[in-house]
Amino acid sequence: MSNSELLRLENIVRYFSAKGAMFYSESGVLETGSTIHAVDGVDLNIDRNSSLGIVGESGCGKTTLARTILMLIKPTSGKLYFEGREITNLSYGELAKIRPNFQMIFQDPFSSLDPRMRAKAIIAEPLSVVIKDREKIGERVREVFEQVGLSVDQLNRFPNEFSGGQRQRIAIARALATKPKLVILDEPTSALDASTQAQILNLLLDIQEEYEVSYVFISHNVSVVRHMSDRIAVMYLGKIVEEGPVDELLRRPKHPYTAALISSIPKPNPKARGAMVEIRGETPSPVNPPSGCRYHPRCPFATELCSQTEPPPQEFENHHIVACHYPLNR
Amino acid sequence: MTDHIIQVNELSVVFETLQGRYSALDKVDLAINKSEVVGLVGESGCGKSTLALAIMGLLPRPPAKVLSGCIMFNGTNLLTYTEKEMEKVRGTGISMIFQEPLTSLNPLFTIGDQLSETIRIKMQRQNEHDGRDEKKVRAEVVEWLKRVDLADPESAMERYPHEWSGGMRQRVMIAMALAAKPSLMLADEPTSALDVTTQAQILTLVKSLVREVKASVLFISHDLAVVAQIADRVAVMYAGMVMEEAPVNEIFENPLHPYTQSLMGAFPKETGVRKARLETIPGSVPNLARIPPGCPFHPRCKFVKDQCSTARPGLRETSPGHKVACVMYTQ
Amino acid sequence: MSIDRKEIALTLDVLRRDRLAIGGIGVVVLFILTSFAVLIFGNSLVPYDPTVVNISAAFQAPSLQHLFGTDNLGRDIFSRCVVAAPIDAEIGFSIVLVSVLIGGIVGSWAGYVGGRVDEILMRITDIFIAVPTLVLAVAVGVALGPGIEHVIEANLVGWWPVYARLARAGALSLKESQFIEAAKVAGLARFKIIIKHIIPNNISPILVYATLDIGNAILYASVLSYLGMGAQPPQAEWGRMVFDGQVYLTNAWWMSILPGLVIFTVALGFNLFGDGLRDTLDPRYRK
Repeated sequence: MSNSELLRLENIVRYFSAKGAMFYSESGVLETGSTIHAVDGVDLNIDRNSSLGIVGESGCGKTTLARTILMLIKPTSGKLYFEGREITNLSYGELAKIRPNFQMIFQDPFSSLDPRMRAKAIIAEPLSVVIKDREKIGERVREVFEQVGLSVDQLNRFPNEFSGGQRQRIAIARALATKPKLVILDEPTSALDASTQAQILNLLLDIQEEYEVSYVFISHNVSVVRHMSDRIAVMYLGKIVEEGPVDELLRRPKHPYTAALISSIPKPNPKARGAMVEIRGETPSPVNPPSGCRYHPRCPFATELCSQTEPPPQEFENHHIVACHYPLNR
Repeated sequence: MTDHIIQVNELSVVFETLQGRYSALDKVDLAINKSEVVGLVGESGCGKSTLALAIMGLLPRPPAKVLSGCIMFNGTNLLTYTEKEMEKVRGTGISMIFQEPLTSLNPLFTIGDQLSETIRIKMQRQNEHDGRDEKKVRAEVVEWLKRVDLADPESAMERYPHEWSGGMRQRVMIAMALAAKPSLMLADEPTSALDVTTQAQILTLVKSLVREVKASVLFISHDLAVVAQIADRVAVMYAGMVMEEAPVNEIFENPLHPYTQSLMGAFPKETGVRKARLETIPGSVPNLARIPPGCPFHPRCKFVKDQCSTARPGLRETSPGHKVACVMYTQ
Repeated sequence: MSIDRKEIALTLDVLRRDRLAIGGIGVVVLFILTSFAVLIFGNSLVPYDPTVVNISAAFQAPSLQHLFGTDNLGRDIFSRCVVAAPIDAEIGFSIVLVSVLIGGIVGSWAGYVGGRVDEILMRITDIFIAVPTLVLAVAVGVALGPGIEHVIEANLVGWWPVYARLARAGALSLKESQFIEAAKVAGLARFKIIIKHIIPNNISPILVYATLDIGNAILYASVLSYLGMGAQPPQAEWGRMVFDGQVYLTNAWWMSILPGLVIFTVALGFNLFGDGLRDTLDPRYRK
């Protein structure tokens, strides 16, 4: 464990039981199952003052992973370490003491703020859990409100009096109020217009520099994730299939799913209308994951081995890790 | 000129509500040619969906009101059509697919039933067997389901919409939209709700099918990259106005309008410098009830001049096929 | 708790256009004002003393001197009706207010916390909802004996479960909201989340229902009084007056019918008002 390690996830598993859960198989048809294997064995290290991007499509488990990191739900099995100390089984009260270190920014600026609370109260809320002095809270609220580019005379307004971009700024202010060490961002700009998105991304970068906070940036938009992160982890059906330095992974993906994902992304360049790496079928649901390597039913390079055995993670240079029996060599 | 499938001329639409009058479309000019895919790009609230609904005759009037303009299709102005007349146009003349297929497919009927209905109507209108030959109809349904890559079409026909995933439903929608062999298909953000890998499949499918059926498409999206992949020509809208229009290669290589330029700069580039600050457009998209006078973009434009706040710029051609609505290019 | 000005403006706007709702509000306002007036000024407010017996003036039909006529003891029925207003006001508002409080808290908590607690609560409310409220109220009322407080209590027993259901439903849908998740991330204790976030966001539908409900509560209270529970003579009370006048229905119809009409009008007023309020919540009308 290095001194810069902030958070460590060891073989985190999270299942949800859902009797008669309905899901769509790879052929896109409705079937039923009973357990949702949302997160199925994830190892992850997050360092201080770093940026990790997590990409994946629907059903990959990234949201469940985020909630597990934030200790909103307890893992079914596996361990969680914060600054070297295990926190998996802390009580509600003990957890409350370290909560100021973790914050989250949600996707929808319209539903992540209580419509009946004023901006001031919204930002003060996480502070009120740790500080009792009302004056100190007020000071801090004003300070962080200005840092996110809003003017303090708007502190008494309600969320519906702000635009989408401004609401997201309030959400960012709320997340930063307690000076957290880790902030999880779950699609923070997906619901915003292109021009607003750029403003918010710039703000997030500025803040990260100033606060030296670690980001875990979750998104389905790979370009945005690339822009904001140092490392990327690609999730598929509850597992991390590939993880590595951002540019390395995007230019030379080693996992067929990563390659397919990247080539599926439309590029804003009409001349680059190349053929995409073939990907068959629909994004399956975690209720009934395939045997062996989860990606095998859709992988053009799958063999008998792939359908029988789960591929163990292999490490390449620069901490580039892949879970595949036949990693692509480019 | 005679190659136009549809021509929208100076169309202005407003919405009269309790909160005020929203100006959704302001003298919009747009033409679509035969076998052409036109991409309509803009942020939320720019009027692109309103335009599509106006063409389909689906605008709720009231509260919508057409102030001026016409929509010429096959020699007649669609705005003058009654609901009955519009019904005849829909399907075989103009069809539409939407963002969320679950709400546009009837949950009580199997997809086979719904597709059959479309095909029967087409047959009736083309006087083919009155559409009463069930075997022929069924054969064509199976044919179409195969074309949109729906596995096992025979049993697929018996399934209901909710039994299918989003991507599959969208394929059914596309089949329904194209089975009637329309001259024009309107697609309103058809891939925005899909995963990126599914989106890629659907885009490829649409491109090939549309060529086969020889239909024109108006592809509406807020995503410039998606439009880059599928369109022949692109129109950029802002606050109810068309700001720029050009062939797809041209508009990406040489965007002229300040808004178009800013829009392109606002997206993180794949090859750009990571963590570099993105170009931003100050301010935000205007409330349609309070659109700035003159050029609606002028409060946020870095090249703004005095006349921008008083004179509304018209769409002018600066080079063959490339039109811009900005005073910088009309001097 | 904070409601912003724009919402109030929109609400008033929708209400303004609903004639029936305005009528309802008028009746309700008149009712409340009258009740307060009686509490402050007592019997001096009315033209005749409601308790004084005057046999010579008995059984007079409604006229300019006696707007609602007189009863078998010569008492002015109009004065008695006015003076009885605060009683039903007290009963109606008390039943509903306490029900909202109990039901609201219990329901919000059960809905948010879920699991066993929710199960137990739901079984309890099921039992109470299964029994017809009126029957239950009568049974409890008989057991408790006469008196206004007992009328209130008797009705309360069967009244609060509906609010618990309403609150629970609201809590269930709210608890998945992102701002609730944000509160959890902040480390807020569960009961704080319920009080600060769940309940304030749930108020509107409960408020609407409660308004409608006061009319019902008054109706039920009148029924219990009619049956002999509640206010005792010589205290004037509408339901009781209806009962007292029943015997004389053929020759002095005004003794029963007019107090009955008053009950009906007041209950209707609350209903129309509540209906109007419900329309204001409907997003279609707010366009």
